[in-house]
Amino acid sequence: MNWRNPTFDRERPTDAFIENVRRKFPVEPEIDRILTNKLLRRVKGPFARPSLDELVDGTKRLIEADLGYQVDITDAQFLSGGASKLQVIFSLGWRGESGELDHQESSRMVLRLEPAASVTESSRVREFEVLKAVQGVIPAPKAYWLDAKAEYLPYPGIVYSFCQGVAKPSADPGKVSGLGQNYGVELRQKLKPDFVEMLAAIHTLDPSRFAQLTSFEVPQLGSNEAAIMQVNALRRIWEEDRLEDEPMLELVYQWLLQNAPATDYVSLVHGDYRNGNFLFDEEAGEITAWLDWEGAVLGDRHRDLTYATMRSFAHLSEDNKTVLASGIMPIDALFEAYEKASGLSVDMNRIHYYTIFNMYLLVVLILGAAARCAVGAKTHQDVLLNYLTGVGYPSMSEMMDYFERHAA
Amino acid sequence: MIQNLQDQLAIVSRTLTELVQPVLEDAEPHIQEQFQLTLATLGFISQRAHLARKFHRVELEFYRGFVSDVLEVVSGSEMESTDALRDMVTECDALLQDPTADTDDYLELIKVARAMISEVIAASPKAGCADSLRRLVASRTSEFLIYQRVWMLPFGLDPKPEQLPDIEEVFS
Repeated sequence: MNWRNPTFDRERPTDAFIENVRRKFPVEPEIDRILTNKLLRRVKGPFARPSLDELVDGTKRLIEADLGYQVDITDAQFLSGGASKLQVIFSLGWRGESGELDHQESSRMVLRLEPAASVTESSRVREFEVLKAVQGVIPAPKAYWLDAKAEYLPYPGIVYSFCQGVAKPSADPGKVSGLGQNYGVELRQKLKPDFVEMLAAIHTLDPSRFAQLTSFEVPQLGSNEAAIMQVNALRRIWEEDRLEDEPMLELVYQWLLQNAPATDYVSLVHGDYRNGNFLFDEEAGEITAWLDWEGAVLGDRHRDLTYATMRSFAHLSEDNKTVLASGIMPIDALFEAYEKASGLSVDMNRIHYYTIFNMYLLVVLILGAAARCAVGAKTHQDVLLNYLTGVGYPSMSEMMDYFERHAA
Repeated sequence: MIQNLQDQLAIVSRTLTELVQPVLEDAEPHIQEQFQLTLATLGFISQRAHLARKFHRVELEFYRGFVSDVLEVVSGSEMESTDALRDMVTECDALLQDPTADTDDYLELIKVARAMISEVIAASPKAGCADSLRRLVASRTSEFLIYQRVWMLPFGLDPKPEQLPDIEEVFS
């Protein structure tokens, strides 16, 4: 072992380093492509935010290449919110979905583009496919155009419909990225049914729709191979991104490998199902769109169930005792309502496993990916990503406590 | 006269808050958010910069002890890296006794110590010492995590700050 070996310079990964992580931590092919591209891009230097004009021009050419006629883009502006992707909202003057020659309409659209690196390095192809697959099942942006290979835009991107709604209630607008978002007593009661039923709808998505998910691997029932590949994806990110080692994470990784459960039912898993990632109509108290599908996988429903109940996204209710998962409802009540809505069981052994999985995920992304992006000047949100590292050690502390209670 | 860092930060922060911030009221929300986070980061620096050397010295002392404990656990096993661990303890001792050592020297050695312990854990199942190492790593990590959380407190993101000791206790 040589801990000062120059191949460990993660800011300038060599071909040998890249090949080694690919071999040691096998993942789904599309995930492998994305993570490998991240490393290849890393050596190209800091990220420079593209100008609005450049993005509008690229978007216009992307859309026109598909439609075969000229469109207009107006009122473009950068969108705030989100810690990982660059987003631009604009009005599109086009013939609408019918494409009729004498028809002209204006539609609000969003361009979602990845920067040079991201706290959640992900595939625009998968995001595009999953948005198509859930259309008509739960409210989500409608995906229209994909620039998978960055032929028109500076980086891969997708264009989807703008969704109405707000992410934060007017009474508590200051939370970063939805962390600990408090919706208040009245609003949370109204949002609760949608929160549960939409999760159930995602998890029970008709398997015939999986055919649209061509860049996803479908797990085999009775095998734990898919779970292990998801663990490996996180371990690979840690290997590629960390600024320094964290011995405890090696222990947790080994435990996750040794205890990976076999697939008992294949669900579409959102991967980031929590407060802050949905829009809602504050007056009606209805969820109007689920966003941030980039982490979606085919796998175990318990991954979403435990993610939605993570302490980092929760807060205490007014009694100062009850933990409200995602600021919506108590954890036990969520599991009970979910079983009723989905017809699927909640298995406490899997809950423990995926709780540790998600805690590991959060620590890897915060102390690994977020810190690496910020230090390497790779995004338009470096100062936010750096700030979020402040959650890293409390998250690790939470993981340690849980790990000692349930895995030891 | 040489300006101290605390004064420099205070001057910059006041200028940003009193003069620049009002001008940004009409800026894109994204820019406003970035500005607030910049102020928060400057706040973190102003509360921690003067304590950095002391803190990382405590951190190095901790990792010196951690490596020494790991060495004790793996000594009776089939682990190959015991010489490297022993050398690391010696290197930590030498640096801790060097009055001219600066923060970067501490950080560099801490980084190597962390990597070394992680590699030992990765190799431990084959070397037949996984269980005893697991117990040691869990207990030592929990111990220092408290200090790491204290260090990051000025960011204001710890959900249980009331359970953490004062920064001065880290040095006592």
